Amino acid sequence: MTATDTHLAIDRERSRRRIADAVARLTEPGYTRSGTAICRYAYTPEYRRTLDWFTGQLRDLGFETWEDPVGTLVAQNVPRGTPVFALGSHCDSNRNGGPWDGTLGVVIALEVCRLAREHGLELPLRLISFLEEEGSGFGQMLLGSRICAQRVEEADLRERFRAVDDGRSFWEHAEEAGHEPARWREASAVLDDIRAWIECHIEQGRVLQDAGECIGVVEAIAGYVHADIEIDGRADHAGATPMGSRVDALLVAAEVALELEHLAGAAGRGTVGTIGEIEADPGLVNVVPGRVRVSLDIRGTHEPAFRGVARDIAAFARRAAAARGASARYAERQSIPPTPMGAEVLEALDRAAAGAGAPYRRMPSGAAHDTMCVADRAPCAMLFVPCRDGISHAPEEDADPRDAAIAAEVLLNAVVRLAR
Amino acid sequence: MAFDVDRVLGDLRELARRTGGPAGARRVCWTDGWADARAFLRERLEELPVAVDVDEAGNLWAEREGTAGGAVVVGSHVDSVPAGGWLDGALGVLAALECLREHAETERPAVGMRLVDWADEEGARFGRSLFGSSACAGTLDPDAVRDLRDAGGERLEDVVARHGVRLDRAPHAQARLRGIRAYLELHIEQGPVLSSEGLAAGAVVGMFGVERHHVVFTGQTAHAGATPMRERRDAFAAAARSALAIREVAIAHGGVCTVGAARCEPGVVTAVAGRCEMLLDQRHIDAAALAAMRADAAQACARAAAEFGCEAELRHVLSIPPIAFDPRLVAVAREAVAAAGGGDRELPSGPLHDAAEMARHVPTAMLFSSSSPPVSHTREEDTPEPDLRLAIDAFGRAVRRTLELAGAGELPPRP
Repeated sequence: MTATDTHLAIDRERSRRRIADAVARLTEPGYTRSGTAICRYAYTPEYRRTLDWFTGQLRDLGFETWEDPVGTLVAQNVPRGTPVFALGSHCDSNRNGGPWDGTLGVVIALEVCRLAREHGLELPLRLISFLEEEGSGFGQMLLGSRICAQRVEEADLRERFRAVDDGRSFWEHAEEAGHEPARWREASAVLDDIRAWIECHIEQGRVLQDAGECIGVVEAIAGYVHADIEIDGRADHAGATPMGSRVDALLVAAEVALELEHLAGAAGRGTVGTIGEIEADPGLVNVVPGRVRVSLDIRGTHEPAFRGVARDIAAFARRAAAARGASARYAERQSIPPTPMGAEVLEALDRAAAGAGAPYRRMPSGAAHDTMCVADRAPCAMLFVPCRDGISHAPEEDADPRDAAIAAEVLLNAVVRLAR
Repeated sequence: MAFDVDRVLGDLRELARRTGGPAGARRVCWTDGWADARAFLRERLEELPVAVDVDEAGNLWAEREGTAGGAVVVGSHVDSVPAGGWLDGALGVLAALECLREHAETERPAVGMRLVDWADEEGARFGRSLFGSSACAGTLDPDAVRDLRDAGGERLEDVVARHGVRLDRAPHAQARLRGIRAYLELHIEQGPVLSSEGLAAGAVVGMFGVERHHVVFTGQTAHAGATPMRERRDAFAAAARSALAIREVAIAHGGVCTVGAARCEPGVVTAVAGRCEMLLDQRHIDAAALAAMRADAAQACARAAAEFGCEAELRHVLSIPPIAFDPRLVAVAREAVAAAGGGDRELPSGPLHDAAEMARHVPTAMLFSSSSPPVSHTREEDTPEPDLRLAIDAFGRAVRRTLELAGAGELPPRP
């Protein structure tokens, strides 16, 4: 028997409809704070209603559901302690988010749970919905999965991580929402007994769309360096200071931006570099900028390549600043290595995608995902679904539920394969 | 009283003692500190045989008439920015005071002299500079400034009323133009040109014209991790290329161009900017060159935008045409600086001054003293004392020579 012979076909139209309905429902008032975007942050009423909706759906399928001490939603169709295949993502949103980011992964996981039951498959499944992946509530990306992976300190939760909206601590907000942050270490159990984890997500880029493919099998998640470069020049009167007498910090920043384009392109291996923030001081129309800060986001799946770009751009900034009589400082905010995916899980996804007859490709994920934290504890992989024009983290974010239905079919088949 | 440079320095120090100090000058217009500075000026003027009054726009005038009618006007402003420098404006007013003292010694002068202390040159409180001089020149529209608010939310119209100015009557200050034969102002340069050339003072040939734009680059917001470099339409990269190209434009035309700020949207570390807005300020002494700089900058932005798959749009904010000062008076200023032992240097003014408003109507010139450090609008602002002395002396000489020219009938009174 070849791989395709064992492929389990699903009613894609039915799955498409269910997925589209679920995503659409969660854009309705009550599930988002805004009338024009998805605004759904942990410990808010909108977030509570969203978890309750998933909980109801999963209970109808006969799953046991519970929440860990900080509010991670977990559902399982076998007794606790049984080795399981875990699926899921997050259903919190970006500050001005779209309907698909994260939510799609939980909705597809729910669909796979449903399909397993409808097809009479006895698969040990766990669905997980992590909280605060986006960092919209407390400014901390991947917060829920980091808590599960014990990648935080208690002082972070008690003191350091504070709500963007009111400055009160994570701890206070979690308690107020009825959780028990004091037992946060027990959140580790969310990642116990996992044989493999697969997360579905929109691509948030346009590689799949441009290639006309409907599935991406993620083979590694990029590591990254987040840093700032601060340039100190001299603030001078814009009218009174000839060009030759200026120490313009903004021009140094401009040179850094163009050099970053060059360095990232030359590094290859999918390395990317971005300046997303610029702040000029004093920032007035009639004053030469005396001080400028730019952010750096440098990523890739090849660690020496992206770390090399970070090192080179820091050195370039110092040289470029010196050439104009200014000075530059490089300060790293955070960096993490790339996350490799599990070979066995990847192979199962490859075969399942081939079996579904879907045009697909192996690709890296440039974006960070909860899977990075799950990978501490279990073999992992991810599936990408194209999103229109690569637009994400915006209300216009869109994806085709037909692609999502194919992803559900691929996911189901991969789990069947791994369970064998 | 003979023209006495030491007395000017003494007055400057006394004014700084009363309305300044280690934290810088505190003479923001329409505040108590400014009123204190005015009170100091009035005390000094009371010692002279001059008529002192305040016009409808809050400008303070002190006049000694001449037999032939008409007057040479000298002055500047005593108001400052918050925590400002001790010389910005004050130098010109107190040097003018010394000219008036000297004039008072002349018996039955043919040509009169007026000192003016313009109200709110800096615009520090409401963001509208040249309030008093523009009222006098007829370019202040009360309706355009009436509802400007300060940081505390107070309206301009209400605040100036507390200082005796009825905003709707401010344009009546135009009557003060009558009889003016010439306007001369001494000011610190606020830039590095004179000090970098080792010069104490210079003659100002005119004011730069100004073109201001918001340049908006539109690309596509994208995830910083998920979007390969070649698929990006990075609005900030386009802005960066433009900023560097615009510097070359300024150099090519001999003007100045400044990108004072840039702002990215969405403006987060993990997103390629889909939109970037930058503030562009361009200045040149020559109108045609200024227009060419504007056109070249627009082209540079369009080219940079195209390189990164973006679009560029220049949104016009402000245009001020260049102002050329009176060639006769510029020559007088040059000769005066040379006679005082300074070099022979003409330079344009980058910052705007009250003299720009006067130059619309009457023959005008300015003298600059050096600035070292070459900064202004900060308490670090200063001028070395020898330079200050030379500049004050040169100003006295220029005013004397202007009175002579006027006495010879070369500078008729404005009807």
